[in-house]
Amino acid sequence: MFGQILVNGLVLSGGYALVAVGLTLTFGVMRMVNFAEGQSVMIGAFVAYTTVPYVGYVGAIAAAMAVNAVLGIILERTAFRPFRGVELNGLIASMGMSIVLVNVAELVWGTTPRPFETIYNETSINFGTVGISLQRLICVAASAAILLGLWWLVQYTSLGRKFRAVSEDHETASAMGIDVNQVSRLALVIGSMMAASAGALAGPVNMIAPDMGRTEMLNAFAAIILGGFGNVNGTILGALLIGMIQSLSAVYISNAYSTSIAFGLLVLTLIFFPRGLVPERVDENV
Amino acid sequence: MKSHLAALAGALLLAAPSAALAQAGSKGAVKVGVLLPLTGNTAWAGKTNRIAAAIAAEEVNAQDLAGGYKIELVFGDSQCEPRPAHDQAQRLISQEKVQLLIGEWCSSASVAVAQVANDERVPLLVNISTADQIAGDAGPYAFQSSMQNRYSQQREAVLLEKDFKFESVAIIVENNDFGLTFRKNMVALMQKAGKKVVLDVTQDRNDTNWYATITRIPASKPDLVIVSISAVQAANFVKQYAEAGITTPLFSDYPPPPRIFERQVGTQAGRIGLVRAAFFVKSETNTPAQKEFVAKLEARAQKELNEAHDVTYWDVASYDAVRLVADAIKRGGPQPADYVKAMAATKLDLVLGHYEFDENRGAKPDGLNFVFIRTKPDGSIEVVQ
Amino acid sequence: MSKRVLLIAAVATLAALPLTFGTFWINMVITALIFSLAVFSINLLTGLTGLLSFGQAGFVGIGAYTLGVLAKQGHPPILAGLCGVLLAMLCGFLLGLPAARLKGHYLAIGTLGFGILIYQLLTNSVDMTRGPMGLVGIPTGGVDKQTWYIIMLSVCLAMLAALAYIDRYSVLGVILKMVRHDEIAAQASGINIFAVKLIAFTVSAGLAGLSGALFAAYVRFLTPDLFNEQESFRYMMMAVVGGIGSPLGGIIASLMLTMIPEGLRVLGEDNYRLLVYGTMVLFVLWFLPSGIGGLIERLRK
Repeated sequence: MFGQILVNGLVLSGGYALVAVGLTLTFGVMRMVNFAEGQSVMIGAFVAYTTVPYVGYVGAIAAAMAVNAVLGIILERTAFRPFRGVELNGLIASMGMSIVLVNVAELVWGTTPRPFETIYNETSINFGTVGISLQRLICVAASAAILLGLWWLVQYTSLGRKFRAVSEDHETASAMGIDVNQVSRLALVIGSMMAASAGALAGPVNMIAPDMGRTEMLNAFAAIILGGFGNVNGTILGALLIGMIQSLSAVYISNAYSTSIAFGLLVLTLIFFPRGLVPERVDENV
Repeated sequence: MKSHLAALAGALLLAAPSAALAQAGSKGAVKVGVLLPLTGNTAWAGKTNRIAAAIAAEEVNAQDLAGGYKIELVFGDSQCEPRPAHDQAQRLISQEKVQLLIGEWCSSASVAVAQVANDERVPLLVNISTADQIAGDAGPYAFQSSMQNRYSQQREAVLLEKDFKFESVAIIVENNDFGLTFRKNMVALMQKAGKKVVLDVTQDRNDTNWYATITRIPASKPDLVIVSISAVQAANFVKQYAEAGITTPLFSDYPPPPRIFERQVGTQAGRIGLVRAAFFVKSETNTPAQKEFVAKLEARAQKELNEAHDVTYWDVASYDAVRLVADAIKRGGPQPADYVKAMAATKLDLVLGHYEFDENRGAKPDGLNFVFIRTKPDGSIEVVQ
Repeated sequence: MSKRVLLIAAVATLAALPLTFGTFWINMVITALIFSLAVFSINLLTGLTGLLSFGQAGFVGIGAYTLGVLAKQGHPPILAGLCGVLLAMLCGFLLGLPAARLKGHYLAIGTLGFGILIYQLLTNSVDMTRGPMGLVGIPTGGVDKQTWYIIMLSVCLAMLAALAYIDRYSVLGVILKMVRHDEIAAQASGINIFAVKLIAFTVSAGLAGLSGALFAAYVRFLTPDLFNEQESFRYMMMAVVGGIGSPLGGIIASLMLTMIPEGLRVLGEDNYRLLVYGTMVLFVLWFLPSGIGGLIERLRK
């Protein structure tokens, strides 16, 4: 049973990580939490669901990412760029966008929960007593691949360097010639694309419905806190921890308090590590 | 003389039906508020319930089933949530001036509506929520025409003991009203029957991840797994249950709607051989009244919503509710005191069965439809017993 | 016309409003006023002291359920309400102990977690709160809507005055604002930052608890769903649209964001009205960066 718990935790973590990293990128660059991220996941899932019959599963994931890239640009212009310096307003603006997105989805796709079927759901792979459906295995593998790609992007490419520069100090970065608006837009685009992949990959695991975005975000928030806002590596680690903790606590402690336990441990961690487990390097100017 | 009499008789005979038709609405219109989730995450159910209620109102008015009164339905979108339900109930009563109320779908919303109805002394018929004692707790103006949780769970226990051979059982529920009462009742019943409860899990209803729970099932080795999970979550659960390759027989409480559920996870449910309770399922064993209703609703739903719809218990309950209201108006009139007395004395056969109320204003369960169905491997349904 | 005369005229008009509004809109105004107390709690915590909180619904729930449970057990409702406020304050204090050491978004998520914990506690403590089955028939009836309106109007005006006093004339206000603007300077001036934050958490929790107790007394039914994290977000939204530092803006935003979705029903029962609602929130934020409160300030000058 323990092995199965670990595998379950890994699958959870993969999903959380994709969403959380998008959030952390946005936060790092814009200093705002994107409350519409959960809806990006939902839209990604629905776009993939709608396009699967035409372009196959892989094509559907690509289509979802493409649509969400556009969504990211829209979000950046409407909910984030206007609010630089007034970050709380940006947060609320993204809440407003969240309401808009849910209702658009309800109008377009209706509220009946739909089964997002792929052939991978049917096959299961078993290692002794531990089983995992092919779909969930693909979730984990694809998440890992995408996260690896993102990590490489942030560490080794010039774009990644720009991200980190803007995250540390956007005024200096701007003074050094970096187009902060473009970097922000790209952060949101990449974040939304990752949310799309999360939706398209995890969609087949459950029913998809326009209200599925709400709970996605809570766990991602927990991951970001643990890992440190703006810190991609830390966030991935945080997601891993949260997924594992939830999987373990559901079995050994309680299912009815699953979200509370994750957040409770979070608050506990914050008591001892007020800046997260992997603190960002923010110098306080005295 | 005779020809005059004959002519008079003939004229009277001809006049009689039109006199009856002229009767419908001659005493005026009665506004009946209907609270349903028309937007939000339960709208997929609420939208067709609205059509069913509208069909009932049309029939009542066309066939004068309300004793000379015309029924005018006014719908409110309560979104299956308590605050909107409270506000909409207020709106229907104070702005739309409804004299009677029907609703709601989710028990937390029904609680809200029942409170408002009782405060404003507007008779309410809770037609869909099955939470125990909503009418009894709310006060003398509230009635509940749906079969309450404890009654359906009693019947489920009977079936379990009769048809399933098991010594140990796993109980898995969601923490909503029917899940929690299911768990309480079943644990007690199992202990009384000498069966061992080897796994007892309550899951938060916002948590769609059932893998953790499912992981514990093979570890605790039950002979039977019984669950009470809401419609959408049940689909998630069944999907994950099938994928985990668990072969333990699975029995479910009534929430998953027949056919809609099969369209979502029919293959998986069939593979497991899921058996569950249901208030209503479209099948050849339906009564003529049921078949007639199914035909009417499916045609209308196809026309108005442009989609093929499988009739659910909630549709039937919405239709029956309007008919119950009309019948009470016929016997007692729409004034609250008389209406309430008339409703309490109801003895009526409608689509779901025979309706009568007990002293706590809840419907007596014995006459109401309640079946058990099994999902076959090809995703179709067969009625068990 | 002196400001005082204008003020009296405004209050008199407000008090007379029930005579013109229908019962339904009075109901909306009453609930909006009740929730504006929760918004005030955010004005105090976030607007004045600069502490983010996404868990206020938890305190509202504590206040509400304390009144509900105690009143149903037969205790006098006013006493039950007082207990609700005190319990909320105690929880605010307990939350403040760890939370006062957190900053910015860590604080926001930490308080979010607290709110979720309260919500799940309320849901799962079925023996005490009846959980999802709901609490019906809280014995605070017999007060008609006009009276409730006057009560809520008085409470809100009193709180407005209190907050304005704190903000503009009291030492406490100065201290709170110092903590918001520059913690290090405040500390250097000898202020015990930790104690100040603790006070802010406690008082704001009490305000939110008051909102909950009044809510329970007014609607007379309770279910845990009324106090989930979506509600916390809603209060935040009202606070920001109203101007985070402006309680007056907060009341107006609460009224607007409660009544406008209702008024938009003319667009039909579909999702369009909620679409318009979401867009409106965005418009306010785009064109009124300091919210409605900021607009009022500008008009004053």
